[in-house]
Amino acid sequence: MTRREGPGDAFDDRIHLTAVDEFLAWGKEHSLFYLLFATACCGIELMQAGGPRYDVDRLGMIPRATPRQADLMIVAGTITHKMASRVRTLWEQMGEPRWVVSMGSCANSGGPFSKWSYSVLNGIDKYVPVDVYVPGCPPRPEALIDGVMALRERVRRYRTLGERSTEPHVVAGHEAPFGARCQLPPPDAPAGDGGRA
Amino acid sequence: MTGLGHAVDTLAAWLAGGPPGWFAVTLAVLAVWVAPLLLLVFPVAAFGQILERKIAAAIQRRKGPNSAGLDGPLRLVFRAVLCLLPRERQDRAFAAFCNLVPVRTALLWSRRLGLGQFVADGIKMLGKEDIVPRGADGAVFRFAPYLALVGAFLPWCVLPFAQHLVMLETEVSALFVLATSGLVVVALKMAGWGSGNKWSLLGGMRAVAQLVSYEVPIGLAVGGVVLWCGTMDLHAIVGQQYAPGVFTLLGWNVCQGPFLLLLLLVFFVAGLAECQRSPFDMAEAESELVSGFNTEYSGLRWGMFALAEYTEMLLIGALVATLFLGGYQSPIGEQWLLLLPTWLETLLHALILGAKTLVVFLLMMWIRWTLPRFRVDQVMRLAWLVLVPLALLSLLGIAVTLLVAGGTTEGMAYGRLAARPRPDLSWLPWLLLWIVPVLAAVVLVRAANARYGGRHPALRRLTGEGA
Amino acid sequence: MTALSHEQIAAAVRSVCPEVGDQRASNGRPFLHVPAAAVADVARCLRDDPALRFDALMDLTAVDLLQFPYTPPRDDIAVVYLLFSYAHRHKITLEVFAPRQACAVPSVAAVWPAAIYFEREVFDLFGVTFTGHPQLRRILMPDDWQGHPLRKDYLYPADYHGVPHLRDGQSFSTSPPRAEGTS
Repeated sequence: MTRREGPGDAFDDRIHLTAVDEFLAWGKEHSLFYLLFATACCGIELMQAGGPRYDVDRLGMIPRATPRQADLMIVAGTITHKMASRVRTLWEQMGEPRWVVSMGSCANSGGPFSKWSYSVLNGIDKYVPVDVYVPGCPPRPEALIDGVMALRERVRRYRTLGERSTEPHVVAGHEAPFGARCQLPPPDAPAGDGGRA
Repeated sequence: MTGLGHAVDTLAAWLAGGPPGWFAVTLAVLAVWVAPLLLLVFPVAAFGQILERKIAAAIQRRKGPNSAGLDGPLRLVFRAVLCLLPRERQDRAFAAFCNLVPVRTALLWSRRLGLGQFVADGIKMLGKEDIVPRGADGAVFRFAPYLALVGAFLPWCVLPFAQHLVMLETEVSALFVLATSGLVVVALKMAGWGSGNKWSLLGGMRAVAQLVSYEVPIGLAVGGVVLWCGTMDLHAIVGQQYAPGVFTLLGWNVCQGPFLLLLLLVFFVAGLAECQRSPFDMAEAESELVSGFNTEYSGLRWGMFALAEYTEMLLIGALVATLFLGGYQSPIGEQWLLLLPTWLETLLHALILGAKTLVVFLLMMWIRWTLPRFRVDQVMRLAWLVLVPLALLSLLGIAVTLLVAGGTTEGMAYGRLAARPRPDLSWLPWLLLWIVPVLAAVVLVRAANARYGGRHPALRRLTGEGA
Repeated sequence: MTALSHEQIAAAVRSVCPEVGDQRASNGRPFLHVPAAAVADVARCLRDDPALRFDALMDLTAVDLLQFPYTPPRDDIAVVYLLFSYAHRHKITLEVFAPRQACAVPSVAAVWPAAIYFEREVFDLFGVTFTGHPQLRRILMPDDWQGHPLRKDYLYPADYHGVPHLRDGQSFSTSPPRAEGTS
């Protein structure tokens, strides 16, 4: 665990809220329910990751059919422009705290479709903020689990009560592709606020 | 006497060492009414979830949750105890403590068994955003999970955990169970309607249709037991099943002829449907409705629904045990248990009831992870065309048995329960009651085999043979 | 069940519409060229004639003939119908030209309901208007998409609702024809 440097640091660490925060993060880390959602061949690998050989249930991950109960969205597969706004809506329907793993080349950057396709979105990070990029076409379940472990590192540092800092995006063992960053959704894109009151 | 029931009276008197004052009565109420629910049913229901995940994993040849141990909660406790030390020293002390061999082993096994999983899930849900959709009926939406919990917990009040541990003693406790568990129907309907979501609404409608339908066989099954025992008091029903000697098992209701055995099956299947468990989980069928009535629920509210479901499963298990399997009584040699000190006897009886409940609970999970989901119309047909006729047949059979057996004798007094009249069934009619249906079944099956060349056409249709 | 040869089918079709042309593709596969105005009549004859009985529309697609090795060269959209008869086990290919501008062909959705989705797809990607189609709207692309992407003169848009098609710093030595203001 990396510690922040600065005045008041020693005092800050002894505040009880920090310990509670650590406990809350522990709970979130071990209970990442993911959204049942796949758009292409990465989905097959995602299913395989839930199967007997790889079994992400070991990490406390179970699939949920409704975004309200999911903590983690694994964007598995090619996202077209038409689908992207739906993905955005699903992401908005998830309750905070929520995380996004971009699985496979298509979701990372458009993959094999990035050059000659008029319809494929070049990376889902243009619509939703991505926490972890998992490279591969499609990534094997091991790669996905590696990405989930990277995400768990991130979740461990998540502070519910304390101060939150923005963190760089994670690619397991790589630099962020093409200067990955989240762009806010276009103002006229068909996306709401997830139907919250 | 406080008028709050035998258990409260006894405990308060024991605490006060004489006529109890208000303090003793309050303590006794807390210990007898609140503690069993909060300390027993609640954690066991929460633990049911991790148990289920482990069993599902075993059935699917997976490992199941094995990364969340108890180190997270332990670390919190450490930080709380050592709150005056700087963080590094806390960490060092924690690491040193975790390196002790027994602690290390315990933590390893807690992780392997996924013991921390339900703690983690609960913590996660606690920290999750509580979303109320814009189109939802706010009050109804917010209130529904609490009502579901109430409906799942209230029936426990009248269940006899042990001879001296019954929260609410009433003459009509069987009716009380049926009535209060009906609250869940209202809760599910409220959840479905209040969400303002079409999937929720469809799920809620399905849940209501299914639950109301299955109330009928459940009511008939309970009615059969009531008819046999001549009382609606669950505790008296348990007392009725008492038999002295080693083979207390033979006194259980399930052994009183094939009709009660049939009723047990009807009750179990209908109870499975009452809990919305697979293969009857029409109300939250992921492949059809996104998640049914709880589609719009996030965080702790959804957790309450899940908890209510597991509590209800436990309740069905406890009811099966109470109505048919002798309640808290031990299967072998009950009368010696009564000679033990009260606290030990209470503990043992509660454990025996827990074991019986757990068996039914595990059976439910086994069924869930083995069978695929029914279709809506199949679920309804099963209720009205199979379970209700079977229950009615059993009722008729029990009535005829009571008529033929002729009269009642004074039963055994059991512990503090007074002797009650019970059906006069000496060993010869008892044996006949078992042998005649078994023989009839054997004859029928043989006749059918002889006629259809070994395979009945209905069976052939079922297995898809010769299609 | 008697499977008819291509010539026999062509003769039967000509009895309905004499302008039907019998042609051969570059791979030697024969097909019938049908004038756009006669498509509905020919389709009905193909389905209902007891000797023909083309009960299945296997596929309905289109080819943009711009820069296509076609003699003589032309720039029409060719709508192609692949028909099969489960009753007689014979098949036939039809070709209909839709001019690049005023691109319209009568719908065969009333003859083969399978054509409803096929024609929506061809409309979406090639911009062929099928007159008489019950619900002709886009099926694959978003409803507010501009242009018909599988046409050969289609210019790739720079962005969709402000979301650019290329990532930051991404460039290619060869790239598809793009609309104004695109790298």
